[in-house]
Amino acid sequence: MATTAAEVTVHHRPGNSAVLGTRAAVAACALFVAALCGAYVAVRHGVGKEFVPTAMRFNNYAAVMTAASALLSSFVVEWAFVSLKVAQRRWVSGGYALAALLGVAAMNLVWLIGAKLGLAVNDVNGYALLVYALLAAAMVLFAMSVISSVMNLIRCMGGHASATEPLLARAGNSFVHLASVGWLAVFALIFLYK
Amino acid sequence: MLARATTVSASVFRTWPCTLHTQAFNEESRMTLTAPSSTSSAVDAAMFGNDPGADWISTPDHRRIGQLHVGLVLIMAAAAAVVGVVVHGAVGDLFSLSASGRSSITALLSAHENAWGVLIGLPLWIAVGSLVVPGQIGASRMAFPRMQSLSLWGWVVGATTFVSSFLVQDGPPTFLVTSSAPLTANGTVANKATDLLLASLILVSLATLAGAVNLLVTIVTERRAGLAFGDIRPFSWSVFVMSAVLLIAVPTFVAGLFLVYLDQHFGGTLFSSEGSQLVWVHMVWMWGRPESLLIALPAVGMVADVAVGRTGRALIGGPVVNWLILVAGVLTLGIWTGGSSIATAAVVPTSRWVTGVVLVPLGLVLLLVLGSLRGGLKPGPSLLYVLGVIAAIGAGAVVIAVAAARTVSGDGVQFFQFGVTNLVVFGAALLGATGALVEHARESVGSELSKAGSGLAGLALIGGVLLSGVSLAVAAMVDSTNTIQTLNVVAAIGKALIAVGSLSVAATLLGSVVTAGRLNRRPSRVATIEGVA
Repeated sequence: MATTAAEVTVHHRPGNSAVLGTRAAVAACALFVAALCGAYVAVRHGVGKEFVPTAMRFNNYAAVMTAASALLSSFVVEWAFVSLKVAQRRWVSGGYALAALLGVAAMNLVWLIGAKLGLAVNDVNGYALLVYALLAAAMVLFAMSVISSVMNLIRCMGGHASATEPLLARAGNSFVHLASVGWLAVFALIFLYK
Repeated sequence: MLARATTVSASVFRTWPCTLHTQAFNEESRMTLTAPSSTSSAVDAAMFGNDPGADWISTPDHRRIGQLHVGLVLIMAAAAAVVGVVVHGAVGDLFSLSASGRSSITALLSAHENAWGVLIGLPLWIAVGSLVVPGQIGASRMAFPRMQSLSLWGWVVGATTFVSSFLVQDGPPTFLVTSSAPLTANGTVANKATDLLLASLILVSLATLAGAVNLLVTIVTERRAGLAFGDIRPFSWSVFVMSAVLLIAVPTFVAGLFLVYLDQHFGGTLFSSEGSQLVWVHMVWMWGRPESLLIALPAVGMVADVAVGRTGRALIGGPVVNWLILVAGVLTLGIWTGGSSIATAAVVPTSRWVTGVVLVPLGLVLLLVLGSLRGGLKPGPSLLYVLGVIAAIGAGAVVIAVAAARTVSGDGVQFFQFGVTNLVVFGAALLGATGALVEHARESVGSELSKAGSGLAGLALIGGVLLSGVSLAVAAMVDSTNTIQTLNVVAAIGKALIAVGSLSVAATLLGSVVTAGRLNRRPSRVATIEGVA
């Protein structure tokens, strides 16, 4: 028995596609960082006790401030999203602009941590190289969170994100949360699993 | 309703028999197909323009992108096979070659292996998937048409960079994804060839990832209303599972390449430290990653799909087939649980349960398919490819079983690895992908492939895969130098047949595209495939 035309009409759901596609991209980025963390754990496990070079100077204060900036930016984008749903465009714009600035601050702090590490990259067991790789990955995540916040800001100002079409903004927020979670994972790994 | 209904013969468009459980397939029955609604046609016109011969470079039409992608990957496969002819032909004289001659042959062999592993296997599935999958799920387009274009051109640039990395006068790359031994501590050693190879691998990986994400999202959000996940045809389902696993596996590979880049430019000591063997094996080495087991997965889906289409009946077990494919996909991730000793599992997959267990659900699917191929089989060239996939996997299983009872060591390990992967991984994938193309050419190209052309190409591919795979695996188990030389010559003949077969499929595809153009049959304007309610 044949289907009728009405039954087989293709349903396009562009909003869902964008959200799912963004979440897939977020998942891929998360797995990239997770793979680097896994490499750190594997090498640390193989090397044994003498893993961290004595010249190592990890700036805990900067790392904690980075975590605070990241968590604050996560909070702010959610606040902006709630504001979007109640059609408060000025709050939304302010929220995403603030999140972008916090992301830039976090990038600056990560750069500071890397610059002050005091390690030669070619140390014997690869510790410095792995730490620099993790910091670089965190830097990329923060850069993506800044881009997504700016994109959401532009979408909001241009009317592409609104109370009736909030999905893309929500998808963009995922990058900010990813940067926060990614940094917490990297920080915890370097700080706790020495 | 804005939708415009047209009817076409059921023999042209076959449907997944989820709808056939309660309804006998009737070859004479006619099903209603729906062309894109006038709304989506207007969108199509805006996107594609009104010129059916719109330029191939910038088109967002997934079928056109897929045709170009498939054609280019097949040409690359033929080129890689030609390199294989040179390599295996030369191996016959390898014992009398000078050191520099051996070095050149080794570099060629590396290029051949790496090309098959990274540039051809998975990108071919992405290309065929973008051609076939939207039609099978009732979508007139992919979720992100431009992303598919990005996937194609990313692959093209990556493949070009890959080839150039073996041509620069700066020596061969310092690392290979097919080498199970990690880099040694030799300081900062990067050369231009290494940088080019790294860039090409990252580009091709990201292009593959983009294509996989696009297919994944398309299947989730663009399938026709009412089409449940469990009712998706086996080929599309296997592409879905492959894409999901790729989403997990490819970022790990890219992270591994990132570490290699840093190591080669800023240290050169990472991969000589304790514990780095595991990092190398599971993040860089081709056979320690899920992709190695994943390449053949859609081939099994294609076999089930063609069996459904050609018998017109549901497979024995029905939806269980999709579950088995899903289980196989999930099990491929188990390769990461193996330690660094997983290197032996690449040679004899049954030597470790985490890799051997993947073969169980795939074998069950093939058994269900074989059990379903009874009576009323509609003949067609795609059946030849089905038999080819089953023969390649079957021959691989026999060779593995024989090797498990014997000792393979020394140079034999590499020969055996070549042989098994030629059969089970690359051979099955090449036959499966071209088989899917032959089966669904009407819907995805606009005109069926020439039966004679695709039949002869299928014979060449099957012969080439079996000859090269079996001869190399046997070469691993004999001691006589003369016999090894003879078997390598046979392998070279097999590679030549693969090159001829790949080019023949590409030429047949081109002929079909030209025919469709002459008849003004633009697939994107034609109806999408819809199921029988």
